Amino acid sequence: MKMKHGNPISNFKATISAKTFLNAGTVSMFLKVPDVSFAPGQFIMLEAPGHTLKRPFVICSVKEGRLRIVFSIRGKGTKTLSELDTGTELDAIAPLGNSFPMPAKDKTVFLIGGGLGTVTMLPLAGQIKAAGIITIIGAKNGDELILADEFKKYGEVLISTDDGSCGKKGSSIDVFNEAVKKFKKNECVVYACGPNPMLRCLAGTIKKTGMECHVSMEERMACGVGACVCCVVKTEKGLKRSCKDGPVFNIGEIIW
Amino acid sequence: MVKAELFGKKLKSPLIMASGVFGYGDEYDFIDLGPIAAFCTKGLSLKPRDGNPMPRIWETEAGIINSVGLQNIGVNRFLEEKLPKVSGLPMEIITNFFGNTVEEYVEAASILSGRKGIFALEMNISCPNVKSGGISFGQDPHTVEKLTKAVKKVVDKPLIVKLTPNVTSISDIALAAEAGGADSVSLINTVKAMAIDVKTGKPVISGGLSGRAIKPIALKAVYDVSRAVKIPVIGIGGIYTAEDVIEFIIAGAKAVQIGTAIFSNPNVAADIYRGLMDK
Repeated sequence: MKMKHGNPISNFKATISAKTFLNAGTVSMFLKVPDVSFAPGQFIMLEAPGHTLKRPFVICSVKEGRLRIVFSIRGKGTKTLSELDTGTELDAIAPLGNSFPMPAKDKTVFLIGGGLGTVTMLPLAGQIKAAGIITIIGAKNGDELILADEFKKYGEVLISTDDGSCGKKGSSIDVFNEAVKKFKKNECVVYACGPNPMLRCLAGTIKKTGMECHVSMEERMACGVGACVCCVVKTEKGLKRSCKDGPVFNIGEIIW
Repeated sequence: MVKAELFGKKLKSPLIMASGVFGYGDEYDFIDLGPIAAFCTKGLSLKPRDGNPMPRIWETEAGIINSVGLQNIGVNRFLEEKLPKVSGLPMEIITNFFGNTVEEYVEAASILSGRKGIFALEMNISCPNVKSGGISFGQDPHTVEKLTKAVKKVVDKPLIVKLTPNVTSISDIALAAEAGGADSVSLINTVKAMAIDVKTGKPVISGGLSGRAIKPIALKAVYDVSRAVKIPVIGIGGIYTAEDVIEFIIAGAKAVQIGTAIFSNPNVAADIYRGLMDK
């Protein structure tokens, strides 16, 4: 059973209270918000001033009324957001979407993040109670690697880069396939978010081993609440809306 | 400015949520529905449809291009699963529907007709007519009149015909709908559009443009059509504010539909309503 946290709060004001660049193209931003409770995997739709659509961001944490997001500058909307000053008020809707099912306490948890998908693993790392947490972060290169130090607080961190400039050369799924060898299938639960080719590759491994695995699917969204069906994902049960039926899906459900 | 009337029924406001942005009426359970007079369902077809591949949405300078491809659960599932859920909401229900042949239109309409809780039917005529080589029904006055007549025969509820702006003379199409027996016309549907990615050198989306960019196009269409037909005109296109609504009413609209604006502000109807009260 996937948890659902409360009704979304419509169009509250979120005020930028802090902004730091994790690297040239990635921003960590804190926003002052009203009382928002969330579960790992849920997201916030945030206004990008001057743009027609709000943008979805995974909620990393909410502490003392400050909600954190981490995003890359991918297009005009995220560029606008990255240039805003602290104190700017933005319209927001949150929390939205379903959330990751929590593992049993005796499991070892693998968190696999590819590129910006690493951000989606952060709230899980902060809230999971498990026998152990092993985080695997994949990036194009060392310069684009994000959040590795933050995950170290929660357990072992393994790194892969496409060019080998940091950690192991290759894909995060290669690293996972190696690391998971010492576990039996019912000893661990796998969570992942990243580019589709990476998740598709992971789906192959999971199909062979039969492990429990949940992924967060990121699609371009318009409404964020399930009304416009712009963000659908192909599943064995037909088309599902990543904003409302997801973004979290059992990896076995997805048709790649 | 706040009161409105359609088909002899007094409405609490002139504000209707447009088809496509409001699902089947059960998604926006967290906003103030009070000021919304009615909502149009997502376009319903006789059989469920999967719609188009991704991407289905693309932002442009002053609006969005969508290419959802009319994904929907079909008329029967709507009546079984959704209608009972949304019947209790404080808004009238307008079922938007479409087909790819005259027969499909007629059958979908006859299934929706006679169902309690449905205020009116809105017919989307922007779809390709498979029997005429895929040219949209809404582009030919003769086809529009014939289609409207055929559908009108099987429905006992007010029939709104939703017009595409992708035509030479929208007034001629509106007159054809009126001649076919339409009780109202709503306009405009999205404007054909495309976006191109300079990095790949290819189109990223081809679909319908909506939002602020199309408001002046819609105003002109509403102005012209209102002077051509006697049936009530419902204005649609880039409505964000109370002032926008007033402009459409001055152009000749009896009510308006709000679409894209709900994506930036889920409570846009309530905000517009307050704005209208102050005018």
